[in-house]
Amino acid sequence: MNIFKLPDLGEGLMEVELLAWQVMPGETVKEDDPLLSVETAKAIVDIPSPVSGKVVRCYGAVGDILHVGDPVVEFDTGESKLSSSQPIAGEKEEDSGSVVGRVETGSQVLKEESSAGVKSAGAASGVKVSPAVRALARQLDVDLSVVTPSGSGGVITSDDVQRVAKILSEVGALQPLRGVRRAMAQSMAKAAAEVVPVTVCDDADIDAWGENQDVTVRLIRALVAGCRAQPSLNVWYDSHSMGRRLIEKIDVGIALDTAEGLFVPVLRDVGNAEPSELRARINVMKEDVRSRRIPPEELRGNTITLSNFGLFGGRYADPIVLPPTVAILGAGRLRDEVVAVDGQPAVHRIIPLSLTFDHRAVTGGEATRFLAAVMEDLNKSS
Amino acid sequence: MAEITLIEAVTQALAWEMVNDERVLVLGEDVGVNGGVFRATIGLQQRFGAERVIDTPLAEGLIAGMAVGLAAQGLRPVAEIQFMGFIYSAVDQILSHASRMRNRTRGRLSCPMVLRAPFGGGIHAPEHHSESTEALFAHIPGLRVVIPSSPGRAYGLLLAAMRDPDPVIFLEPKRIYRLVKEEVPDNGEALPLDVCYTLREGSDVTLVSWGAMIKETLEAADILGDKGISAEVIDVATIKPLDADSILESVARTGRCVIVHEAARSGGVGAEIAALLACEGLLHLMAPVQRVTGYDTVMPLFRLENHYMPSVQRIVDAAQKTLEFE
Repeated sequence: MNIFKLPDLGEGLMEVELLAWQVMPGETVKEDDPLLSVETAKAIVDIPSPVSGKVVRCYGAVGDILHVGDPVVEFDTGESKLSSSQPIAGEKEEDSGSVVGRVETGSQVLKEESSAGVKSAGAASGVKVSPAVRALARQLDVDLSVVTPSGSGGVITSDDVQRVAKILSEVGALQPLRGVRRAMAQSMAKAAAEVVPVTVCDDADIDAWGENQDVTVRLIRALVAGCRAQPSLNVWYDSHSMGRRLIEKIDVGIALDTAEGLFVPVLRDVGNAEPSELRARINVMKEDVRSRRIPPEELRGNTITLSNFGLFGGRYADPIVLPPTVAILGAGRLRDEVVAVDGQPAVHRIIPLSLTFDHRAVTGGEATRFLAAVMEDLNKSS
Repeated sequence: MAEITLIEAVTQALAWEMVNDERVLVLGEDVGVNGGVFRATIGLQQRFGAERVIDTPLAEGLIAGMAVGLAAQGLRPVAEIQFMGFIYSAVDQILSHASRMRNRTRGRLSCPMVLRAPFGGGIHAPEHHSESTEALFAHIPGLRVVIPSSPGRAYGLLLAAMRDPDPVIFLEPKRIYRLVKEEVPDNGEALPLDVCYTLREGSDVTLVSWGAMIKETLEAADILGDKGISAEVIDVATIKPLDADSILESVARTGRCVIVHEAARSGGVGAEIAALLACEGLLHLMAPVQRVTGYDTVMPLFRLENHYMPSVQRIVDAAQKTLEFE
């Protein structure tokens, strides 16, 4: 017997969703034959068989979330794994007594950590419910862990289960978050737990812009100007060792909203790219994301992030900084606004900006000087 | 510090206590000159003399009766019954006198004796040499029944048994007498009686066993672990009185329990534990309690012995059954 466990697929991905089995119990597979398809946070991957042999059991059903190290497939490879605790005869014959029979002698040394008695009194976490009510819950498809008990001593009664079943039938089934959306939930929660965010907002006057200015490309250019003025925002912060790495190259993550969730593909070295080239690369990237063909390496390693959320609406926001980066610039919806020009009211084209920075690594002065440089670049006619 | 086997740990505990408590004496068949048929008392007669390490006639009733008298009069006898299968002619002394001494004398006398007996199968022995009848003694009020499963626990629990003011039936799993070694410091430190020992922590199913079957139970836990099932392993160690709190606490967390013992199923200690869970753990149980035991037959002779003894596979299957229960 040989159990294949979900390997580390890299990228720091600790879980995948099972999309399809390529094998069935009873089938014989060769090494490197695909066993199953899984969806990681970013892509769809076929996992190959590590051995040749007969599939005895497939663990998990389509739609299950598998974690790294979970058993995936049990093989019969024709070799039996010897129990490690098989007695091994001692090298010299010991006097094991004068009885009829055979007392086996082993040389294995036991290393044991045992604890005596109740480990943690009253730490029982399981729900208290009678078998009949447990059966009712199974029949009504009610997860007992979400039921508030009303019985004495915290026991779940059949009324409790019926009540929850009624509520659940009204609100519809729980949809587990999958794939990209699941990854978003995890990385956002991690960022919220770790980062100390501060957001500053301002408006950039873009009334001087000539014809055919590409908003996204101009925003990227302005971001580059900001980074040149204040390199301390184009860094990776390592909270574990409390250090930062200043990065010369500017790799901008572009937040892209899709039906499946949030993607942040990376445009490399935007400081040295022509505007027309940038536009072409953005278009390719968007298409790759939509068709889910984008390679994982293009979804990591950004040094700063741009969120052009204003395409749909919204003026200011407090975008989330994802470690290890320390800054994200958000651009809201463009608008015309009455502004004072030489003491006189005038209607100008305005782009609202929101800059969030991680105050552990960046000072307020650095952030506001960065924002000023961004605005100054946006003010330019071309 | 030397690594020693379970049987060497028994010898080490006896010697420590004989050095430190002159009331302790050892008696039984072949315990002196021969050093015990399994060598549990080897060297003790040379070291402590024939007055404290006494070879008795082949008469278990006499051995137990002597121990009762010696204990009631203030000594600390440790009597050896050569095999558990020979214990029955001593049962009258144990049940009618040892277990009742304190109650009968309204507390004026107690019976601080230890009756050691190798028990269980798996050594290809003839008839009467492979019994696991621990439940007979667990049924009797006034007796403690203690079963170690490792060299360390053999040492610590035997010391505790010798220091206990009441009679202790100390059953030694002879199949694992010499199977593994463990570092056991000879420091005279006893382990607590009347508590279970958690050997492996887990969250999906609680495996409860004692004695030699702990070996198969731990191997089953390893295999279950490979299958992604987290098994907690509890060594009951003192099967009477039973540490109900530890077992209930564990099953309250896991919701599932498999009890493993070598003895025949009906009326075994596993039935007592299953009843405990039904009475006091019912609200936490997610599946019926499973028992993996010997069969309700006479222990077979050695060619069939391995069919009788619970196998690792049977334990794994039972655990999976609790997890697959719908």
